[in-house]
Amino acid sequence: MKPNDLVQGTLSLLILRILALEPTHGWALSQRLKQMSKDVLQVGAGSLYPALHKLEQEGWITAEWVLSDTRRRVKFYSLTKAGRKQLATQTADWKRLSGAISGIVLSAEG
Amino acid sequence: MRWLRKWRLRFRSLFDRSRVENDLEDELRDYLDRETEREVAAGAALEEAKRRALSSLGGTERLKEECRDARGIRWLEDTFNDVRSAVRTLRKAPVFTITVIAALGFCIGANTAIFSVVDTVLFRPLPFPNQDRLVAVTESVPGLGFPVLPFSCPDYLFVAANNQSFAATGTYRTQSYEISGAGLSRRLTGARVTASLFTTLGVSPVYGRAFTREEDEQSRRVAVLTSGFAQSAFGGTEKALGRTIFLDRILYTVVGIMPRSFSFPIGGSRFNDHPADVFVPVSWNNEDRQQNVSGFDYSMVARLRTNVTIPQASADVHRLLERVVENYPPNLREALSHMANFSLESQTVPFREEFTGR
Repeated sequence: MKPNDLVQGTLSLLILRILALEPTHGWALSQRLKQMSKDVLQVGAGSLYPALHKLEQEGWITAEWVLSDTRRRVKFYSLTKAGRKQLATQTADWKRLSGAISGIVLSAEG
Repeated sequence: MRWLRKWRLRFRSLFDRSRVENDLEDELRDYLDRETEREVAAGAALEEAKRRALSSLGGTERLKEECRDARGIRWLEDTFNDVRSAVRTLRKAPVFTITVIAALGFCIGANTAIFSVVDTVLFRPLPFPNQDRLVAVTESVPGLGFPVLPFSCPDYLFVAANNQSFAATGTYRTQSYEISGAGLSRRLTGARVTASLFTTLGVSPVYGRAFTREEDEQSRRVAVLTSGFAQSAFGGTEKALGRTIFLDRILYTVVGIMPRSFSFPIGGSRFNDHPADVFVPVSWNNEDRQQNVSGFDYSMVARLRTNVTIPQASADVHRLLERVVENYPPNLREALSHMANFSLESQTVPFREEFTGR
């Protein structure tokens, strides 16, 4: 697994995780990510939007245009059924992977 | 229905591009507005807030590109753009464009023309049922410089009577006749054929009948016409039945009309290569039957027995021709024995090769 793949996979897992809570738009997602990652992951809007479009293309999330109270068109993303399944799979994968890694790293640390 | 949604999105990206682009624009503007508001709320001046919001996107154009990439139809869009720019370039250089189009057109046309010929001659099966079981059999006297010859009457009769390889054999020889009667007076190509030729080829007349072996042996004057000739001579295929024609001033009665598709011999054959209008019995006389080592005029076609291969049939005919020589009259055998190079041989090839030469 290339480092890039790891980051990509992680980012999509994070997005799916957040969207599983409630449908939301891109900016709110970016705020959530910022809070949650606390600058460790450095996920900017520049990586967020392509990732969102990729997930939409994959059919794991779906988008809906809503008019806001200020008459702006806002794109709301929500999880699809396939996305929910994907989230479960990726979460399980993540648990297995991170468990294995931390097992090795922590034991080596002594 | 994940794939359905996926393809709907793909189609939209492809065929409703302005809408997709507008959506992307709106989505990013929404982000910038909110991010600017947040910065302003955090105490930044409006201009500074806008600048920071923009830089947090890391360049809108690059971001848009990445979003398009994510939609997975980049290659198609790129192709569209390439084609568009190619058309623009070509339009600017009309002479070049016309030259290229003409050259390509010519090449394609030439290819098509050559292929049509090859297709007709080489690939299209013969108009005979189970044509892959039909073979052309020839003689040869290689020692005397005759690598391939049609059959002589006695050799054909001997092979036809004694072979163990063929379910049926037939032979034909074309010749020019003067035709008269039925308001005609001209020359045409006719074929003298054995009654067995039609059964060997597996084609029978559509109207009337083919002549019989007895009619052939008894030299009856009966004729089978091609559909085209019956039409032109009698104004109708069925009408020609029972009518009479003179071939070289001998009266023949029309007993059968072949199907429209029947054209024989097929043009381009090695011997007897002109399609005939009229088929009459070969009716060999005693003189014909004694044309040993001469009168090589009769093209032989045969239908292989089931499970007999061409090499087996070829070896069979070869052996028979050795015996033919042994059965020649003593004086002829004596004469041939002084010719060190004399040997009578034969070739058996798929009938298709009779007129493709390969």
